[in-house]
Amino acid sequence: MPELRETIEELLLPATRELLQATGGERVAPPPIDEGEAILASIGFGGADMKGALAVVAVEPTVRTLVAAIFDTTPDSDALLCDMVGELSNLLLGRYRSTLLRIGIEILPATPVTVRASGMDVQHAYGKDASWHAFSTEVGAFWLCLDVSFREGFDVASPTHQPIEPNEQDLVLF
Amino acid sequence: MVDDSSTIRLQARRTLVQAGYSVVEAVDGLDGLDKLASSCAVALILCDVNMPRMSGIEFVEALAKFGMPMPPVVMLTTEGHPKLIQQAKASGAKGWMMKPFKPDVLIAAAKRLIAA
Repeated sequence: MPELRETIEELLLPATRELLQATGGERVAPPPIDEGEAILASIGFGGADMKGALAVVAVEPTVRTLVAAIFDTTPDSDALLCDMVGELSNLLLGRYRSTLLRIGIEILPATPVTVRASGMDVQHAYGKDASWHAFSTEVGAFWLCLDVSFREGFDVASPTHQPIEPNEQDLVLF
Repeated sequence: MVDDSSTIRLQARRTLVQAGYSVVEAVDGLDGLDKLASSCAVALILCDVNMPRMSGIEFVEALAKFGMPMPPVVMLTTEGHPKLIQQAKASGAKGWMMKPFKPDVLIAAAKRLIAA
């Protein structure tokens, strides 16, 4: 279902650009992570209509600067750095979930896992239909993987354009 | 502060400590129940929803059966699904806050709920 996959990607990539304050998002071959240590965070999701995983990956200096800016916190340990990248994937999936709800797709998230390694072979880590997207940020390149499969016969409804509330940073008191 | 992410716990702790509060941290719902059983009085609980072992909603449901007055609970999460929000409310949660949170909003919520 290449058209369906592209439709979903077109809906989700703007949320990625916004959070990363990045440009781009063009589809690329799996990135060769050969410039030293890289960090990859992956978070799975499932639902009645679609399931899969998203992953974010970049070399360590890029990741370190990026998450420090997003969370306004300098990671002072490797463990915290990895947790921050995992939380970044969680934030991204939260944005995707809100976007998907507008077209009637509900997904449930797993918890993120993070890998830190040199010479990471990401090409074989995800399914054959997984798509990789490259983003440029002020501190270097960042890659996003969307590995999604759909229920047989599933099609996307028209977006409702209804705001999904609450939004990020909102507080609702009962 | 119940959250499996050390990043979020760090952000919340920093915000609340700067405002003069003391913070007890737990890494999931089960850990939260253990900490509550062994800690002194807790005035407010901030709780993630999606956690391993015991989710935030399950934690609130367990808390309601804990046999002691329930402190106000604010869910702090990336989840925004109306069904989950209703479920948390029905379980006794007092608020729902979306990540990433604004420090001033968190402090305002803490002051309001602790004073109530």
